[in-house]
Amino acid sequence: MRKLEILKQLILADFRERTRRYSFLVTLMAILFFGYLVITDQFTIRFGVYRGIINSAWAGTVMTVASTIILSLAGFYLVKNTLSRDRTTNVGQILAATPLSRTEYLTAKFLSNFLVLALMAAILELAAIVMYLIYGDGAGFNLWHVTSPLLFIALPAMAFVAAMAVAFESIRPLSGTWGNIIYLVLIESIIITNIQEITFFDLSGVSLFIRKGHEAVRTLYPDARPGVVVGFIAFDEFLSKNIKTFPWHGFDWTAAMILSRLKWVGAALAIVTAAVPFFDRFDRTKTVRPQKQKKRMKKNREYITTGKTISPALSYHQIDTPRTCFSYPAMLAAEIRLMLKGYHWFWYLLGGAMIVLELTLPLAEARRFALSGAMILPLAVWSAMGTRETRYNTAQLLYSTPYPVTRQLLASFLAGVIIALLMSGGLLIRCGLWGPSSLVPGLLAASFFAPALALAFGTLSGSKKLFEVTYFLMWYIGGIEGLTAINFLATTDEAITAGMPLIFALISLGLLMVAFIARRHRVIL
Amino acid sequence: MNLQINNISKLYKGNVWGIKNFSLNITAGVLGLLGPNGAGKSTLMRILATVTRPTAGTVYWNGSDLVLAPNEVRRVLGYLPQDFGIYPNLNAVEFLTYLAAAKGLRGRVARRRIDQLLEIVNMADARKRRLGSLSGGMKQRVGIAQALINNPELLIVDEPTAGLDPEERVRFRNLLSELAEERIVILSTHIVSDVEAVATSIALINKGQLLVHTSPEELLRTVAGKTWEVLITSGELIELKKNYIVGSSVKTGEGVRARVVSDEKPAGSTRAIATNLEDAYLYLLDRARDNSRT
Repeated sequence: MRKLEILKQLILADFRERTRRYSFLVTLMAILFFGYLVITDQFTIRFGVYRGIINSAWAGTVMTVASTIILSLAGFYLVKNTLSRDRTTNVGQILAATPLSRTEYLTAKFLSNFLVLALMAAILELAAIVMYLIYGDGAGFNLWHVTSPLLFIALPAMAFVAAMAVAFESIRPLSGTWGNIIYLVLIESIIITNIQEITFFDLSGVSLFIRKGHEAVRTLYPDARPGVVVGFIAFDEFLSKNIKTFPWHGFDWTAAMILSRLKWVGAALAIVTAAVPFFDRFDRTKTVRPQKQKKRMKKNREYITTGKTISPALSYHQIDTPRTCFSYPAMLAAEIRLMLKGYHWFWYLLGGAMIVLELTLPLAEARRFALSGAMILPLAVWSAMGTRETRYNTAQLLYSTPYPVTRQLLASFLAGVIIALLMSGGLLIRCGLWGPSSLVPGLLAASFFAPALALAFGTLSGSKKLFEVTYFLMWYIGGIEGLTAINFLATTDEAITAGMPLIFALISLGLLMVAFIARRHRVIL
Repeated sequence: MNLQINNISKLYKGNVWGIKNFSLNITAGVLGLLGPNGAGKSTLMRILATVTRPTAGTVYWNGSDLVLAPNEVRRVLGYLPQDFGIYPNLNAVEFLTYLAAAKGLRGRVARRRIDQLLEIVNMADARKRRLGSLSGGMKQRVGIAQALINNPELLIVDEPTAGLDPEERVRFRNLLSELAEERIVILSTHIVSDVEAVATSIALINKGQLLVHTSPEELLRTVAGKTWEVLITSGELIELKKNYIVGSSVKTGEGVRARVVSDEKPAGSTRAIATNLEDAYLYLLDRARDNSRT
């Protein structure tokens, strides 16, 4: 009983802390906006031209599946900050000194994550009721048709997402930028395979919905070959104008179906349990190997024995009076040093290898793979731009220096550009010297776009995640897959012909202005 | 050199006044800003350091408005906030080089200045250690060094001795005394002995309002002849605290020796003793609370 009470208090405190933040209000607004998109049929799930008659079952199922897809992705990034908050606020240190076990702590964090996500899913279920009230067929409202998808589809999926967030925060290599990317790739893959009707990893329930939906369509249209559309259809004229409706009576929940959904809860509990040994209990001091330890002890001993007495060797009056004269190169050098510090030697090696590959691979491969590889490596470097001052609590020190926006923020942007130019340097030199020179504007635009996006999203959101996820999606879909509209790297000839370098150069300017305005607002004066 | 604060107020969300109708004229020397927790000291410091804007009122640095022209004061400002962070992957030299660049120091000048300041704050031997691996007191010393990097004319230090060991505290007090001669130093703390050691003037602040701004000597005079040492039993201590301002109490073989500040001599085994700043602080705060009650 005592343990349950402790868990309850931990969950409540965490839940209150999150829901009283301004960012939670913004998230709620975003969720409500998403509900609006589904209600107005702009974001939906359809089986080609076939759509269910809007009754409580259709409204409940579409809203649940659509929101579960979105929350499986975005929800992870919303809740993956609870351990790091305890770390930065030092609350973790206080908790670590209590008898609270690691399992209890992580369980509480998991449940708190789940509570937040469940609240979001429940709010969207209310939106399903609104959808029924506005567009419904007038047939009687069935509460079970709305609540059962929430219960069996959304909540088990949210438990899984909540557990993944706790696990990723507990396992140190997954707690940062690369963890965010790995999760994105993992969940995207799961959702895509689910839409292709591979049902075992059906996290969002979309696969189940497609299977049962197709059965329902074929009951009315035996010759139909219904496909599936998930996402925005507002701009698809054909789909918008050619709608055929069919009656959807909801899921007939069997024990097997319920069990197949509950496996996500089981998976969630297994993930939290597996994360326990990785959780450092807020002690990040590394164990030192004996040889290194001797060396360190010697160093520390030297420090202790040479520690000065109360009278310092120098008095303040004896030291030089410095003359101040601001220099951009000095600020830029300091920013670059700050950005590049703290990475593993392998990271620098990989960066060097990418530049060499840009110079040596055949041009098409160099553009598509070496350049793309080089431009994803500094993801963590760029994502720290604009958020570092908040993350490390150095804002007061920096904002009390002269011209903090035009000096420090501009230097930070230029440092990001220099790093981008360095990473695309191999191809830049190659194209500049031996052609084709038509690629140069694209490389320059990409080198401006990446740091501008990072700075704008970082200063606006105060978090690295928004940039990391957006940039990664653009890098993959645009740069690797070659979707012209978002190919900021201009890795294909189509992107160059379409004038994407100029477009992204202009977007970069806009983003930079946004970053400056946002920082000016933060600096206050 | 003059910092003129004219009737400033800062209103936070929830209708909470951080500071209200606060006026003060500060000239060269060390101003000790004393007050209980939540008195508004840090709000005042943040306004003076240009990191927050007052809701009303004006502040002038040598005639230039802090809100309209903040960079005038930022050029000559050294600021050590109460709660500040560091970049854990940098060492002390790299961190200070970064802030030196932001404050307009470069190259050899910056390097020399950093070496000298690290020597002064007794961090020379740990200059190349990752900041993330330093103790709280050592980080605080790096913070002190960054505040001095541009040889500031206005030095604002908020609870600077928090986390420092007694030896480093004494070193810092000595440093402040040295600095005071040719600049304005504003030292905010609730440790009265720190102020007693270095302040040339004292501002006592409570609930966002200035109670008194005077010299330490004058402050002592307000309680002269009002400090008593009372010898009582342990059981009588609670009763004594109900009726008097009790500064400290020490358990001895004869009973408890309590330090009392009072206009009238307390009854019992009592003798008058020398007054210190802590007595004056407690006395004036108590009087302010009485006034606000009436």
